[in-house]
Amino acid sequence: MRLFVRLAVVLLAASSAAQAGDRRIITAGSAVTEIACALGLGPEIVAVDTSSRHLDETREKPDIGYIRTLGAEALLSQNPSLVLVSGEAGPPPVLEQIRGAGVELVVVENEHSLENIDDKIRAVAAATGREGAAEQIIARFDADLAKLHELVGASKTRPSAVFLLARQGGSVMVAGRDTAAHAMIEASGARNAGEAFTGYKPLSAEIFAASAPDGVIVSESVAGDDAELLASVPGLEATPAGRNLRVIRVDDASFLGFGPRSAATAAMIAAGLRQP
Amino acid sequence: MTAPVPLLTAEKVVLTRDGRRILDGVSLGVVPGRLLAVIGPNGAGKSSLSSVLSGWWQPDAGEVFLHGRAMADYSAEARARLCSVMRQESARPDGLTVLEAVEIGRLSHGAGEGEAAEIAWEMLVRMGLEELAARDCGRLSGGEWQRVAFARSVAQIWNAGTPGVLLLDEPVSCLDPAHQHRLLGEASALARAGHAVLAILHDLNLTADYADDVALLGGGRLRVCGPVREIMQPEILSDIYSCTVEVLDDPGRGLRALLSRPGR
Amino acid sequence: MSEEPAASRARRDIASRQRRTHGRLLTLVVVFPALLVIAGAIGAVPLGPRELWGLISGAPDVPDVIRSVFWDIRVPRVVLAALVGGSLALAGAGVQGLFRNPLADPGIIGVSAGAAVGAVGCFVFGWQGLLGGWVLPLMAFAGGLASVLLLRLFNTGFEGGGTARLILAGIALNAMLGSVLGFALVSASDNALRSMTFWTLGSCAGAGWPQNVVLLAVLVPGAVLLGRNARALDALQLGEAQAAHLGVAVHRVRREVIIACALLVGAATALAGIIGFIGLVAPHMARLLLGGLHRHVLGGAFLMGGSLLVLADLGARTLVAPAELAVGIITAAVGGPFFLWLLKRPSTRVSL
Repeated sequence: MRLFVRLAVVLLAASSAAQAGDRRIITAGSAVTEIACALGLGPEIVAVDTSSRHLDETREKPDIGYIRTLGAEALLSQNPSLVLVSGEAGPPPVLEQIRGAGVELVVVENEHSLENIDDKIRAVAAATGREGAAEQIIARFDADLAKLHELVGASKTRPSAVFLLARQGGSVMVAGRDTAAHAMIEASGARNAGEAFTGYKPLSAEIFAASAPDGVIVSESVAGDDAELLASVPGLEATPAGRNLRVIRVDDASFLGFGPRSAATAAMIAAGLRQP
Repeated sequence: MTAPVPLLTAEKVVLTRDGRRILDGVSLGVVPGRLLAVIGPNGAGKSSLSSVLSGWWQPDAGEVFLHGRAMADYSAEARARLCSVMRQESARPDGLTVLEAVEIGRLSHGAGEGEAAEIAWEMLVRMGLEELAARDCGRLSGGEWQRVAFARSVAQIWNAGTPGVLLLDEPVSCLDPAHQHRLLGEASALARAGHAVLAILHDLNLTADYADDVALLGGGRLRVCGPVREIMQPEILSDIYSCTVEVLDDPGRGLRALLSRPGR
Repeated sequence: MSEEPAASRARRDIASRQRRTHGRLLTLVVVFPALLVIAGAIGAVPLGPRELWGLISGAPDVPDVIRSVFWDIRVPRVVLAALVGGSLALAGAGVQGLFRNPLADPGIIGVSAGAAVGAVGCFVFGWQGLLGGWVLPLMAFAGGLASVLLLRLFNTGFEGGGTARLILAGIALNAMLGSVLGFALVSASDNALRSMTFWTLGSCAGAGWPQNVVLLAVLVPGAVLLGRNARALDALQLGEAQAAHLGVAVHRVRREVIIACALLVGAATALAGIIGFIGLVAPHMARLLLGGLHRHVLGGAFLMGGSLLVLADLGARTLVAPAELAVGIITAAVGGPFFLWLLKRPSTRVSL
């Protein structure tokens, strides 16, 4: 009987904690984690994926790695009572193994759309019993979204923008269709200058010349000032974005993650592109 | 007295490669109890003949018979039990010991490991190679490897129940004179023991010393074939090699030495 | 009749060499299951000896989560790593023996590239979650086998040309599949691209008992097919013509070895992605330890490859826990330097 004392203690603690509303939650996917934290679940989160460690509340939590290559045992070693993951989590067999171990697993669909973020918030709230807190966040998000629609609706122009992804080794990639960046550019009432292709592609100077983007969007983690950045990319200086030094810096998680802050970010982009 | 039936015969064999006729109607028999040397200038088709006789290449016309059956009718294994071939070049099996390399000769007999090892050891002793038995084949000199390959070829027809055929393609090309004599002496002893032995040779003196019969190949044709003393004549050899070949007679043995000089 | 002293020394050398080989083989036979047990005892979820004993003896007071972590996740994963590593190493030994080239990788016959094309198709169409996740291994396996059939077509059934032609055809096939792969990657969506990239680094994370049963069902016939050609592979080390003269049906052996390798690599790659270096390094190590006889090389390579991948996967699941490392990263990190060391050894002869 004393064989499993240590484990029993841990598990007992876990299960009684669950009853007491003090669960052990693992979140994966930046939007899911942001929503969970906004719902006040931060203290109950025991581990997050690599993309979720940008928040103050999650920075120190154990890292369960890249969301597409989770490990079942590694994840279960954190003794979770609830695993909340974004739709891209995988590989699929690993998710099956987690379910098979009897741990509650909730997958929150992740579409590249500002319109279904409300659904995400509701899904996370429903899984964690925080429906009350959810309404506040939804209201705040909807207000941001309304502001964005107003801004875009009032504008008579449809500027174009391009998202540059700086990779290691100095190569620069441009976001095409079927990317989160594309959806965000469109949502902010702009045209994606990279819409001719899909996915992230190495940039081509000709594309810039032809599509003449009005603005350049980059991650705020990119080093150097705007002029340096524009000069470092061939073909960019000659575009309207280059002439007007129009560089918009965004926070990766809110720009690419389609989370609770994304409508505000889209509004910021929409405004930035339309500045006189 | 009837002549013994050849174990291996070629009948009007023709081989064409890239439009060039390499063998042009060669007919030949390898008789048990005798060592047949095939000689001829470079490019005469000696090695091609060996490849056809051994069944590795199909002739374009004509046929090869082993123990009276068409070569093509044999499975690789059944053929290997009756006919052993020592090719001019064979890759070294890195990581195998000399003993293991000789044991491979018994592959077609499907015998137990113990019996194969015993026969392989016996062959090494016969060839004076027993000291090298545990050596890695990758660490042998060219001459040592040639002797090992010969030992393997003999192991292949050893104790097979029926007289076997041994085809040797330039078996002494890497050997010093003492080992040349030892190897060809063994080949000749195998012929004495009833096997049919064919050896492609370049050295006219060794041919004269060890061959019972000689086939002279030139330009893909069999120029002449017969007992060694009839063939090893200065006129015949000078003609086929396009240089002067002198034969020094030794009253005791018939032939003593052959000297070659440039030009006619 | 007494033998020469040198001869009796040679006899003694042979006997001691045989003893050494058998001793080493026995060591591998013992080490392999021992490693399985050790790897089974270690994981991100810490389990003490008494807990492990409780799990193995089926004590009723083991919490379900722990039981599941051990029996449904960890143990099948260790077994899968062993079987995948063993399959890749067996295939490597077969291909190296067939091509008489110690640098030959099972990828040389295009199986891995074909499997990658099958997998990328699955990712591009977004099918990786269908049929309980079985579409991906099925398509990868089909891709691997299809590429070998294509090679057969190129080379008129392996019989037309010699081994050199087969290698060249393999290079051409790999280049073509690489181009298909590159094109698919360029036209793939961001989502597919990310999944694909990680698949190509290899992982045993998806292991379960059904995967092990499937792999075993392919591994057994593949291993039998190779094993029955062990002696023929020995003879092939003398060259194809000489092997034929020794009684080897060269065409049949070549066909069987390639089919066996395609099955082994295809199934292993389908279930664990592309894992490099095991198929190259394990047979090499086996040959160094056990000599060149293929009945030893094949058995040794299986045990060695299985052991190596079990160790590499142990690293993959514990080094950065609770995150996962791609196992291909570990095998390449360890295998690369080892291989360089191998090439540097003066006694390693490489001929192409």
